[in-house]
Amino acid sequence: MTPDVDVRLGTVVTALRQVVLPALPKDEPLAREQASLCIGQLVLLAEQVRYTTEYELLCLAEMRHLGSLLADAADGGPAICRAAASVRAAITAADDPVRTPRERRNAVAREIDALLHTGTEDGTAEFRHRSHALVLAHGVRQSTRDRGWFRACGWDPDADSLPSVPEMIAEATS
Amino acid sequence: MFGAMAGRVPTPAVRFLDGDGSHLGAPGIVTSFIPGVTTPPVDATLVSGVGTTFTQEWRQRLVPQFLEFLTRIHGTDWRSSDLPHFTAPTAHPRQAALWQVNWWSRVWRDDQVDPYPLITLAERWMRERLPAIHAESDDLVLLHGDYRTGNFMFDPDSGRFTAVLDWELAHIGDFHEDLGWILQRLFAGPAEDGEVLACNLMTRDELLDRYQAATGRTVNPRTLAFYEVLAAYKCAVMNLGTGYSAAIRGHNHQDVLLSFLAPVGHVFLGEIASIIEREGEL
Repeated sequence: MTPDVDVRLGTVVTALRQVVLPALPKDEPLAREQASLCIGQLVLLAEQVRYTTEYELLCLAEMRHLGSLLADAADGGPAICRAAASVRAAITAADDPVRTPRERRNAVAREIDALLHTGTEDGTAEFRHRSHALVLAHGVRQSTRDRGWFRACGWDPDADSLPSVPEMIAEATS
Repeated sequence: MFGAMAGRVPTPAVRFLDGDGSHLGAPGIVTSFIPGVTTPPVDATLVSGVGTTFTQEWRQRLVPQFLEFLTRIHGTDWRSSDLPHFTAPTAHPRQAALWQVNWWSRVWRDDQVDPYPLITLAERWMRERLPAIHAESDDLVLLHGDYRTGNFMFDPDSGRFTAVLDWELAHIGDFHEDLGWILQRLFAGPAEDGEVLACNLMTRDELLDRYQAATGRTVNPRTLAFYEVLAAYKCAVMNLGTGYSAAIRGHNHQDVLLSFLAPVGHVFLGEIASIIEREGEL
């Protein structure tokens, strides 16, 4: 348990910032930029690390929910019925705690992608309409969440409108 | 391409060209050095031009040149130029848009690491809304493909453009495509009064009005929306797909930059969602 991950990351950042970076020659811009990026990554990691599991579980839960809604809405020929069954199977398999939440989220998302592609050819107009609305609503939520997760990078033009990482996790777990 | 731009748009001199990749393993070019900066000296620590800000004084110097060179690129007579590595999408009216969707969706299939249903939805949405453009139309132009702040250099004293850079995405297509790219939210920034400026240079309306006035072309809002989604789609694919997978594979000397930049793709996914919500399903 000791030392804490936050402390370890913080001390590495301090060493890079106060010792390594100032020691790099001014005429080595690539090395200086790379060192600065390393510091930036570590600072971001230090903010995220304590919430990573909760965040990935939240993304997994959202993907499973989307998959469930899409499978229920699936309507069309035999190919889309098979694709919907694959989504349901991936959702069930996502209970497997051996794989990481990210791996399980991706397994469900891949089957959702296959269902959407199949729906283009084999789905009814109603399914295409319904899937459009469901995926778009999920996409709005997820992109906002992911932008908030990486808000500390500092490049988001609407950063002030995004939730902080602790706010997101608190809302998701309340 | 640089030959076609000679005397029209400032570009570096070509020292070596491998158009089919037979020497380098992939198509490539070696050019001369050109003096100049991509950001005002105060912003010299930024990468890729993202987050660059210009004061009003700088904007007054740069905006006319930015528009002038965009107009000149689009005004290139590609039909009579010597462009052996370029093919015009003239087989049918929707080919210009279709080629782009085919290309970038293929890149996504090749390079994706984490799947995103919104990216799949965006592909379907674009395929159902492919805008038409006719082969003889003046609207089919030579496109830069990555025309934005960060991809032109200027003299830090005079403000005069010294080079337009990063031509690797140049191709023949619909003029709306470059406009959609310029309007990407990530490339924008606020003016002193908080108004959003495309490429941190001018408002959306100013860009479209001045472009139309300079070229005589008419911007179609529906077509522009398509190309804005395409632009965001391309950027999402580049960052969440190609850049990220290259970092995982350790393919170049900028892996730490690529992994740091990868999540910028989420800004583009937000942009895709916003435009598709606004435009509707069909």
